[in-house]
Amino acid sequence: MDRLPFARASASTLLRLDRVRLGYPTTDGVHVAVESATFDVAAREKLIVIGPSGCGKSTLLRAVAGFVEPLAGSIDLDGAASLRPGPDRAVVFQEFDQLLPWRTVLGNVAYPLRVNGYGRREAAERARTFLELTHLGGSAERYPYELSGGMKQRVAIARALALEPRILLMDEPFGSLDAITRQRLQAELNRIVAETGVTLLFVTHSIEEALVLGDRVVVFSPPPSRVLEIVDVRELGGPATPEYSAMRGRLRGLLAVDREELMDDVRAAR
Amino acid sequence: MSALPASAAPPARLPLGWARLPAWLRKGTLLVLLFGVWEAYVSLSHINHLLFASPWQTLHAFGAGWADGSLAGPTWTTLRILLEAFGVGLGVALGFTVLAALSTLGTDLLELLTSIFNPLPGVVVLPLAMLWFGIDTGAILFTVAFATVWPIAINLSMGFRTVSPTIVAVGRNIGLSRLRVVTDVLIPAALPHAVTGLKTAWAFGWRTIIASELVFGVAGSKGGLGNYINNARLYFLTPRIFAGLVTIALLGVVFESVFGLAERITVVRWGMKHT
Repeated sequence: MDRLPFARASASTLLRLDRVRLGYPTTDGVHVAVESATFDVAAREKLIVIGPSGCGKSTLLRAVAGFVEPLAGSIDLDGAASLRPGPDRAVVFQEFDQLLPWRTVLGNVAYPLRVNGYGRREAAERARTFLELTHLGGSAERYPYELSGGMKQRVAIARALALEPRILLMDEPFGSLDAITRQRLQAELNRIVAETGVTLLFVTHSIEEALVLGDRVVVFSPPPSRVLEIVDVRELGGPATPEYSAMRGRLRGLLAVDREELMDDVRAAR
Repeated sequence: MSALPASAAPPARLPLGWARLPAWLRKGTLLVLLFGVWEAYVSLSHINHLLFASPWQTLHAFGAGWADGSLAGPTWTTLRILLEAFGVGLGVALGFTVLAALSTLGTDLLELLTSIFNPLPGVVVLPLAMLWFGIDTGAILFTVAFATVWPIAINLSMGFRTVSPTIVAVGRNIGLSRLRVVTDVLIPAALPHAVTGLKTAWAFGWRTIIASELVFGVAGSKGGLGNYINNARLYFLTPRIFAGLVTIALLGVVFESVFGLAERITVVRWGMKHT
């Protein structure tokens, strides 16, 4: 049941999720958000996790980041289970308040480097490099409250990348942005990922975003969710191509699956 | 509709050009005028000088008091006790806040105690304090510390509770230890509330210590500003009463500006609090 097409990435596997079950205790037992999640992320791959709201995709990302412990199953990074949060799995969150308000833009990027053993000057230099990469060089001395939402998210991206993570985790980072800024940042993220060669695990509920950014897309069902399908979207071409439209239609179909029908599937699978 | 109704336009003002003057000049002029009215009242009404001092007498008493140390001593005493009591209050408040952060029981206890004690004017515990500590500095210290604990505790714990969970997650994500999440993320993030608490507590403490010293009334070498004023009343040295009041008012202004400055170079500069 867990063997789905493309479930195993061909290149060297960096992150492996095996029958990960996620949930939290409630007054009457355990609420299961993710029934079972199995997929791999290859090194230098851009893997998008998509699903309807409430399907536990953010929880899944938090589990990879080490904030949430799975009820069952395993999460391995480079073949080793790493359950505690750490900079090797740097996270970019959706919320604009993820920057430290009392530090400047430069400070927000340099401080985590200082925490991780860089000297003062090295940290500042490295922070500047990554601010240039995200086109924020001119705003280094500004405080977060002086920035737009899009700029704040770019600072968060620079901060995460400067830590040189094994994998960059992004939890709907553009979800609170207006459409135009979102498109611009998607294009910028593609450029940055290409330049740095970072591995990306990106959670979203937008099909367009998944198709613009992803190499492969993992589609989740509504909760208690499981992997519906894993599709390769590398060779689609631009939004004008028939392949793109067909894939978009297919993903729309998958995400609009009738909930009752799906529950039956899950029961049958047990 | 974005256009404002006509009635919302600023009312017509006298064309004096007053509003165009700089603020310090406007307020300075008003202050001089007030002193003028005061002086005029004292010299024209033939009021008994034992009851009401003129600005000049007050200024003279103020200058003389600071020159011979008879005002400086009490001022220093008051400030020292206030600072000590503030330190004690801060320590106790921190204890409560940590308890509240660690357990629901602690939170409940703090909420209950603050809802009982915070509305009380600090001086009400003075009679008890006098019973327990005698008519001594200890009684004042206790009373003032009591007045400062609650505003600090209530604001600090509010500050910690309202820290964004996202930046705490960021702190752990970048590899901070539990302790450093507290020192490097939680404490600075709670600073706007903390400063508010300290400011309120200092103001409460300041009012409470002057009131407590006034109640004491007995003269002593260790007396503070309240004693100074009360003694002046006892000997009908009315200009000294006024000089004491002026000192208290001036100190109040100084404290306000110190806290204002502290806020401007921290939480206001970081956009965490708006003036």
